[in-house]
Amino acid sequence: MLDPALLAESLEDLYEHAPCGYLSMLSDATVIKVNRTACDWIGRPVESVVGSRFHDLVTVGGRVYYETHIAPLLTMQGSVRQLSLDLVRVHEPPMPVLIDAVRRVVSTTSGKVELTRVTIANATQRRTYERELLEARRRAEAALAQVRTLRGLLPLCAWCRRIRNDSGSWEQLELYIREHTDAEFTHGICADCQREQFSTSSSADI
Amino acid sequence: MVRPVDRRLNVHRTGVGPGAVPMIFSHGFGCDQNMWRLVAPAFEMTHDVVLYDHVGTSSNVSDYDPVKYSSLRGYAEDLVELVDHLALRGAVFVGHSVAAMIGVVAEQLRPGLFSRLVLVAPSPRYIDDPDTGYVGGFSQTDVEELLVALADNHLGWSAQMAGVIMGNPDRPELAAELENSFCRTDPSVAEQFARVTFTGDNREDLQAVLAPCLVLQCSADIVAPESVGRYLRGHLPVAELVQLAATGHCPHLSSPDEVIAAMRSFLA
Repeated sequence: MLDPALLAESLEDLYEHAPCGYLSMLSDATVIKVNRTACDWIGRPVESVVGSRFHDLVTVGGRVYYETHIAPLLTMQGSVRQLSLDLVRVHEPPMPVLIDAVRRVVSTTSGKVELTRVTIANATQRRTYERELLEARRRAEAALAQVRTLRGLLPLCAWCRRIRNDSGSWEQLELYIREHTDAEFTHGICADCQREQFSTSSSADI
Repeated sequence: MVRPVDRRLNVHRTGVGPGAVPMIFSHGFGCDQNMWRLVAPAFEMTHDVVLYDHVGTSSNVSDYDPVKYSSLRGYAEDLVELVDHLALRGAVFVGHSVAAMIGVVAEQLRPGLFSRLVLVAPSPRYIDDPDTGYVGGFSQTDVEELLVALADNHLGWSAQMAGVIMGNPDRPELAAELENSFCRTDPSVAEQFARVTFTGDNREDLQAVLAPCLVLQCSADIVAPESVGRYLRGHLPVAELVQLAATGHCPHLSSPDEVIAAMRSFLA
């Protein structure tokens, strides 16, 4: 049997020390309520966060993203999910976070007010991993493009055996291959050429 | 094969139709023509209302061409083509944010294209220019940071989602049912559009606009601050500046009544 005391946590404590940041703001993005978790991440006391605008809590990219995507989506569909932003912190570098928000209409003595509830999750490791995946994809795409270059038709001069490069000028086959692959050249002489060179020079000697 | 311009731009023509003064609504960076849903209906009884999406939104991403859309000119050419195709004469152009400058460039490409322009939260240049004392509101570093941050958000765009959207270009209702569809763009397209938008400089284009302009300047708009509104009034040949009480960058969503009233007064 579960001890009832375990389920009797106060709502205030559930809010203040939730494992995510939690805040409420007006439709003009003025923060009116914020929990302790969020304040601890930001590094500012509650009194200082309340009254500031959402814009003040995120980096410049987040501010513009709020204006161009978040505010319109909140108006048009009432919620946004899993948006990547960076939370500005007083003593530390910005923290990558994921935010979810829902808009609620609350009745007050002065009429109905639209409130937006925002939860903030720490996404530091996820962001690092995503960036690594994107970088890996970028490198894979670059490698694939290189392979495609080498698989396509290569314009080769029938006489001098030079090759036309991407910028349209003709260059030595060795240079082209060195630029487009990881291959390096060592110079030797094949049996046929050796025979030919050797026999010509010896006949000249005689 | 290139689709007809009205299909490419996902045109919706509402209102009283041909014969009335055309009013073309052009959305800004971020979301699509749905942004006008609280303003456009107010003009449907009096105007031939035309709504469209710039190429690169979820309705028409398959028509995107990174070369054509490497500057606002590509978007402006589409607008000119649309006006020609629908034979819209003496149209009122209503453009939000970057679309305000798309309208300006279109008017420069084809002087007299519009009878009037309503520019909602416009900016001819987002980056400050210390040499001329111009204050756009952003430093070069801000914009670089902004472009990285925008790339981190894909609003649920994935290869799987792209398949649903792009596999059914003739059934946009499928995409519309999906969450965030109004504001979802292929991240690579969004990145280029953001770069074109936020690194652009259209100050020189302003003088070509001879039609009367209404500049709707928002309050506390970090994207287009009040210094930019004043600059536009000073540099557009015929311009009226109206300071809105609406805060933020999207007054057509946050305070549609104020926007409608300012437009009616300008068009009266």
